[in-house]
Amino acid sequence: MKNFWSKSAPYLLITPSLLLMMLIIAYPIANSVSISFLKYILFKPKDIEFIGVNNYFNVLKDPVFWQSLFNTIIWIAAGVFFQFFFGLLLALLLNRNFIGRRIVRSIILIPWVTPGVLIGLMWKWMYDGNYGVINDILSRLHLIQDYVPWLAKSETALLSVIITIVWQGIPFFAIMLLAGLQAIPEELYEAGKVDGATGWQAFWHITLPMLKPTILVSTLLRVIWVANSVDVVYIMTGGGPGYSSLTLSVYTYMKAQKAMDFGYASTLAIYLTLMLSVVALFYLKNLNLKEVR
Amino acid sequence: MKKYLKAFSMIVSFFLMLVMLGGCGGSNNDSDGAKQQEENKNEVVTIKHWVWLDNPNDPTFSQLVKEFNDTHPNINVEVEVIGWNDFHTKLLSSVTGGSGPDTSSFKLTWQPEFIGQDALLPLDDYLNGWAGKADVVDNLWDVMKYSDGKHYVMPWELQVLYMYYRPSMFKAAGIEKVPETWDEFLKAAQKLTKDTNGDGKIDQYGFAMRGARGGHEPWASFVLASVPGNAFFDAGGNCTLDTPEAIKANEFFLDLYKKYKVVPPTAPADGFNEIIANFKSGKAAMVVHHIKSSNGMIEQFGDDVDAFPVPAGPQGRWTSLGDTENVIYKSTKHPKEAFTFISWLSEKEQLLRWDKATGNVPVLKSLQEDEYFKNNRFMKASFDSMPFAHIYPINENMGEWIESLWPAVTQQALEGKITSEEMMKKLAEGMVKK
Amino acid sequence: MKRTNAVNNLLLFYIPLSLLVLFAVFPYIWTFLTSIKPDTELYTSEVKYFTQHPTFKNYMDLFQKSNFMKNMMNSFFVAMATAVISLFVSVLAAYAFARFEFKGKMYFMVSFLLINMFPAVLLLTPLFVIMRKIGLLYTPYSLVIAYSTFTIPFSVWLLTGYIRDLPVALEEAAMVDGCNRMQAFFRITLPLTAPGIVATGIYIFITAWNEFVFALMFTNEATRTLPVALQTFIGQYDIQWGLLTAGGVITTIPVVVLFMLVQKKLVEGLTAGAVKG
Repeated sequence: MKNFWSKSAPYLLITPSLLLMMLIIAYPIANSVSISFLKYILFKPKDIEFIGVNNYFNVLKDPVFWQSLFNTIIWIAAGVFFQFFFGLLLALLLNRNFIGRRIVRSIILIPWVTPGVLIGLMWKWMYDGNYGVINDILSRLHLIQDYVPWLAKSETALLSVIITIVWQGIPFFAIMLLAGLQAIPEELYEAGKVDGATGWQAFWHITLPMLKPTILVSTLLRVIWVANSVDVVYIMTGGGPGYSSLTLSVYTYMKAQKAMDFGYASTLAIYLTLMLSVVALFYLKNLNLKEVR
Repeated sequence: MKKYLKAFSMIVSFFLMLVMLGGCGGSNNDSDGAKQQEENKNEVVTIKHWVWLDNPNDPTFSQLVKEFNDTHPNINVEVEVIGWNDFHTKLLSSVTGGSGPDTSSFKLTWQPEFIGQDALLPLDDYLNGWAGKADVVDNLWDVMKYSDGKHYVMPWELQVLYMYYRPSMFKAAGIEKVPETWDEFLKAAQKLTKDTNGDGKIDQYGFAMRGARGGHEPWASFVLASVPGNAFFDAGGNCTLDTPEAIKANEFFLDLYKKYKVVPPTAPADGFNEIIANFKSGKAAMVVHHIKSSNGMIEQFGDDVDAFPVPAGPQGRWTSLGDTENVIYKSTKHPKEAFTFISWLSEKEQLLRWDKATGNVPVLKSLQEDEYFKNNRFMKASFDSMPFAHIYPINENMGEWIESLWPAVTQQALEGKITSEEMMKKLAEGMVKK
Repeated sequence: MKRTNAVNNLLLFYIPLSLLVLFAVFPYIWTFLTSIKPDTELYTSEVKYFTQHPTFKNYMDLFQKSNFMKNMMNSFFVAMATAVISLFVSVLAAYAFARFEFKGKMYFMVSFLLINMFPAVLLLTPLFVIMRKIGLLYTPYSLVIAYSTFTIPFSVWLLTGYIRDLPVALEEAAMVDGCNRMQAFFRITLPLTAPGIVATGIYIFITAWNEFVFALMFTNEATRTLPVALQTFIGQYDIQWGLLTAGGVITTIPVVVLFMLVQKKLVEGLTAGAVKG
């Protein structure tokens, strides 16, 4: 009897979450996957037909897909890396004792708490090439000569939206990593001190390895989140100029909501999911799930 | 065994909670049904109406609806205000998902998406019995006829694009009269583009060009003014956008940014908010927009803002007609009452109040004669532009064409990544693809 | 020695911290400064930082003329309920994933993740139909359920990470001391992962607080949440900058205040927990 319970305990524990998710989401996902094999334009219900993997081939032949895929890779890599970098820095700083840290810890949440719509509009306003506050500050600091039309140039548009998404994501990492730091036993650092480790060495040999699971999980989740975020890019540049800041998720959004081509959009979504799965697999290998500590 | 009982009971209680949630929803539904029945008994029908408002704090619309409900005791209109940006998304998904409103505001360009799924109610039978029908501005019924010959929309709001300008800047630049042709427009724009404070940097531009979403409307005024017949399609049904005349006119448009630099360097990314901001902040001396911006401009500039119709090209003028209508969905249980409501909104008295509050061009001839509209300089520019005001073609490609194709290829051409010819070929192709 | 310490502190601590905090809050401050400008000062050719005529009219309008208070209550209810439900089921699942070895574990964890990879925009219409059929459409419960669905996978993963970070020896020690597994979970694991649970709770709360796509579809005027309400200030031909920015400023305050209340738990580290345990 006891054996039965220990065997089934994990299944019982995951049942509620599994059920809640499957009940709600299994059908919509299955629905989307099946639509990817159809010619399915929402307002042409009479023209819906099974076209096999045609959508999948058409996507591969679409130059806009390749451009957006390229942009997506940069968007994710740069976006998540800098979010993580500054987030970790912030977490380490906030882990120290200082006057007013309660308030500081709270106000750094602001970027994360602001609705995406407002983030897009405010940053667009701040980036503006004619009277934007960013141009004003940079030119007062003599970092630029003339005002730069940040969002109107292919060279700077993607960079600009990445800065915005970095801004938005820093608090996520700061909070997650700050929580992770609490699980590191103080004794390890004390032992390190006894061995004569410098602050940097302690960070490299104690903090980072101990944080590794948290770091891996939070970056993986953030990669997925950033890959799927639409509102900031859509509002700030609409993917432009040209297609220079178009990400795969924004392209999917436009194909679904503006062109109503759900067959094509579902196919794009599946490619994005496949791509993310590859990233996830890499992470899972590193996470070593099997190990029970 | 005991140690997992607790976990088990937790899970069970969670399911109970879920069941309770479901139960709540179920009973809600029942009570809705009960309400409906009750309403039938008292013969009060509820009409759900969705609308977007440019200024959600303006009480005019809710006052109108309240009056309607007071004067029509058998009808109760419930209004839901939804933001413009997502109105189309929410409307289309809700209608597709089977839970749309009875009536709503609407754009002509959305017709294919909704008529394609057979969601809109044809209004011809009702319109024939509507007293205001003959009073509607000439040609409007033709413009609003769908390709199947039926009318699905009730005219409500109209806007005509024209050119705003700053008289004081024109005077300072020595421009005597407003430009009549695009060549004169360029000359004026060049004079207006200058460094006003002497720091060696240009800080005032001739024209606020719109290169981002929505820019296709002013853009067409440049292109179609050079196209014989001033239309997107010629008599043979061929798209005119890739004709040599159109390509050349488009080149002129692109050169305002590329060669003459009479528009702000931000032009490729500028949407409506930015071009209006450029004009209001004095960065630009001219901008194409319509009467709905006029109240804000008067607030900003007082008398120092005026308007003229868009200039002419070798083949005459073309400007874009903006529209908002009201429609009835087939799913409604009360089409008659729904029509009573949307036709009431477009009746003279209500329309006068609405147009005064929002600055729309009246869709009724009798109102255009009203003193208030006759004495308004922006109404005058609108009326003067009416003879050459047209709408974009309505077909199922246009949603994507407007939202993503036009901005993308225009921005590429502005940056010199593709030529004017390549741009126009893509636009023509995108308009007619099957 | 003391002096170099002070310099070190300044260089390695106060300066980077101030820069990061400034970066984080500057757009917020800018939003606030915009919200107190009179309408005619929004568009100026020179950047104007401070207005000569600050006005709180936008804030008054926000609370008097629109349903902002109601929207905020809706958001709060939805975010709270989502956080409670998601956290509860996620902690259970995460504990299973972190502390048990069982068949199909890898498969379950990956399927949790896959769900979150799929763009939500494509799930919208089918989910809408489901919500309509089970009669939850236009009620806050539809949002609670939808958000739980999307936050559970992330939460399970995050919590699994936090629980795994915790040395299993602590639990084993407790079990040797006579606790059963259940007691060890409640007396050791739960308090020691409190920072992680709080962090995850914050994640869920903020996700639900900010979510827009589902909120747009599953609410009507009575059940509307903040992000959707903010969006109504953007017209086709006009943006109500004053209301929008004032709304943006107000929107963040409840979450920041809430966080101030719980943040102590977030940094209550191993030591605090260990003493209790």
